[in-house]
Amino acid sequence: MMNIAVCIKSVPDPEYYEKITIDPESKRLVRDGIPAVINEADCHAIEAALRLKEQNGGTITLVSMGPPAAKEQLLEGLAMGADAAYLISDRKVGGADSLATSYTLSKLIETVGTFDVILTGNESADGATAHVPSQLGVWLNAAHATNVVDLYYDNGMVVTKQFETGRGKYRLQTPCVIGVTPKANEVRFKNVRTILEAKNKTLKVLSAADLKDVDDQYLGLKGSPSQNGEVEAMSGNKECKMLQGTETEIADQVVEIIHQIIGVKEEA
Amino acid sequence: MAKEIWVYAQKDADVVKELLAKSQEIAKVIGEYKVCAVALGDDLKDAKNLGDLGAEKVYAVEHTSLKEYRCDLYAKAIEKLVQKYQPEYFFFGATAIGSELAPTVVALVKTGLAAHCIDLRYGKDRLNCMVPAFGGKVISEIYIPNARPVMASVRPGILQTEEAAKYEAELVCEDTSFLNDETSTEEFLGFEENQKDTNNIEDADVVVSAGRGITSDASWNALTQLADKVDGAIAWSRSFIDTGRVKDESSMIGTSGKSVKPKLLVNAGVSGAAQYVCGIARAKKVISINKDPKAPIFAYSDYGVVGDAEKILTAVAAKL
Ligand SMILES: Cc1cc2nc3c(=O)[nH]c(=O)nc-3n(C[C@H](O)[C@H](O)[C@H](O)COP(=O)(O)OP(=O)(O)OC[C@H]3O[C@@H](n4cnc5c(N)ncnc54)[C@H](O)[C@@H]3O)c2cc1C
Ligand SMILES: Cc1cc2nc3c(=O)[nH]c(=O)nc-3n(C[C@H](O)[C@H](O)[C@H](O)COP(=O)(O)OP(=O)(O)OC[C@H]3O[C@@H](n4cnc5c(N)ncnc54)[C@H](O)[C@@H]3O)c2cc1C
Repeated sequence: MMNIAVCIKSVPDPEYYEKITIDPESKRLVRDGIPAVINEADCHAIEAALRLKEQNGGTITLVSMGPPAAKEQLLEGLAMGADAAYLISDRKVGGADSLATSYTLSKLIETVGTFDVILTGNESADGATAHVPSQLGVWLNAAHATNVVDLYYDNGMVVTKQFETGRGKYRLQTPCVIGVTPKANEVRFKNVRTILEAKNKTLKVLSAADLKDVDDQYLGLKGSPSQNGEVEAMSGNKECKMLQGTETEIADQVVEIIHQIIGVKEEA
Repeated sequence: MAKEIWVYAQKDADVVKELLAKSQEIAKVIGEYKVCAVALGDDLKDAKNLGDLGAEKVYAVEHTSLKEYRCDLYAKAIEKLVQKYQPEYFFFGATAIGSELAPTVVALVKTGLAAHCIDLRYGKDRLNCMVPAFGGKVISEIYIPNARPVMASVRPGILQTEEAAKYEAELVCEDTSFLNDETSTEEFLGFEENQKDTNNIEDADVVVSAGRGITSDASWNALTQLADKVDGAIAWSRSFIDTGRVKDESSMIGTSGKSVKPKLLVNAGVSGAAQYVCGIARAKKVISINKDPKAPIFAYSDYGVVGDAEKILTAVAAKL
């Protein structure tokens, strides 16, 4: 039997990130009208949990921190096959950087159960720090691994981590925290039955006061050592010279530019 | 608090050189700070050479248990070093190891960490770490007002710096006997090297990149021919994978793929989404071909061609 917790984050749908702008006055991000979805990597974490449960038996509990509307994404996670879901939603935990976020999630996890394996996405699509899995590991005093492309249980969790030069294999003692990348698996489809069942599963919203043994100094904005200064939207600023003429003329110009940049290649 | 800027000297990582050079620049601005490298491993007899890359001082943490990278032991050893010497700044390369180790150290010492920055700029009496988010659409200035050390991980290959000054580095060999009693929660089982990439887009001098606008066999053939004639590597966008012509992300450019730094990059049928252009910031000269004159890719290009990729590529390949 394996008790598994999966951290899932409700994020603005990445398909719409081109539409994000910055308010010139307040310098705040404007992302109105962008629908929320479960962070992509987190869907793969759920899938990994389903497979672990199929092989070893056990339970899958979803945890999340976010606005009340994030219940939607938890419900969707339940429809994917998780057993229960908990959301912490409270002004006190808002404005958190990755350290405060991971602290809050660690307390939520400790409040709702005892777990052998805690899965997260490796990285979120919005803040995208990829800090949370490692930091959760420290707060929970558990082994942890990130950039994981394969995982299974064999006397501990055996994980394969992707490095620049190759793949490293490690066996982690449980409990452990694992940051799952989309490469780890293919997510299965939901079906009508599981969607209907989801509505009858536990889905609870907690406030900061419900968390066990919390130290308020680590929560929210106050518990965040890093802060946001100005934001700028990324846009190209190169002066692009548009080549004009017929196709042949343009091709001539392109060839000339190529030769200027890399030199004329010797004929073989 | 020591007036020191630390750089984690991950073995064989090019980003270490970049970080040391950047740290020297920052040290000049804030004054009287020493740039130091932190090396961990089981055999650090060459650690002093980090002076050649720009370190004035090298902290060498040597122990048999540090032979293979294991996050928990590495982080514990680094935490101890930080507590002992209290540096004011500490930078990591945002490599796979750095991206795991840095947040682990941060949670142990409870300070702030700016994530995979694309630049570090001193200004307004603070270090501003430029952090991309939302797939690269947004760059946020992250700073750490009170907690120390100020920590940042930096994307490899992106910092623009002068050559670093070289030093005959002072070597500080740490007592690591505490590691004799430490047990790890991780067992290292093995390492499998990547297969040699014959189409290495990261180091190529010329890269020709295909986007979703490359649809026909003729346009793909023209593109590969062009690449062949200029000894270029072939890259692609994520959407090009959907066309079925290539299978995987091995030569994909972008936030989830690779960064390229060729002398010449040719984009054909690429729109220029934020996630894509993140990976082309260091290309020296960029030519883009797109049938849409309003395509965002042109704002990241030195030369633009509005037209059909198949026709243009075919004409160019024939003339080379
Ligand atoms: C523009 C911008 C830049 C930022 N830069 C930094 C920075 O440099 N340093 C910093 O410390 N913070 C930064 N933040 C704040 C950071 O994004 C938030 O603290 C966020 O709550 C947690 O980090 P993440 O989304 O980056 O998570 P990641 O670490 O990227 O997420 C990994 C996984 O952790 C889990 N997870 C993360 N958040 C939650 C959640 N709320 N509920 C459930 N599971 C979760 C998910 O499984 C997720 O896939 C930035 C935010 C923005 C908007
Ligand atoms: C979390 C996340 C991560 C992502 N990471 C990456 C990443 O790492 N790399 C990446 O590339 N993408 C990434 N994407 C996807 C990215 O947002 C874009 O969808 C993708 O880059 C678009 O690829 P494209 O430019 O080839 O296709 P499109 O955006 O469809 O553009 C095709 C272009 O071709 C032009 N065109 C069409 N026909 C012709 C023709 N005959 N001749 C000339 N031009 C023509 C069109 O005008 C258009 O501009 C990511 C997305 C998400 C959500």
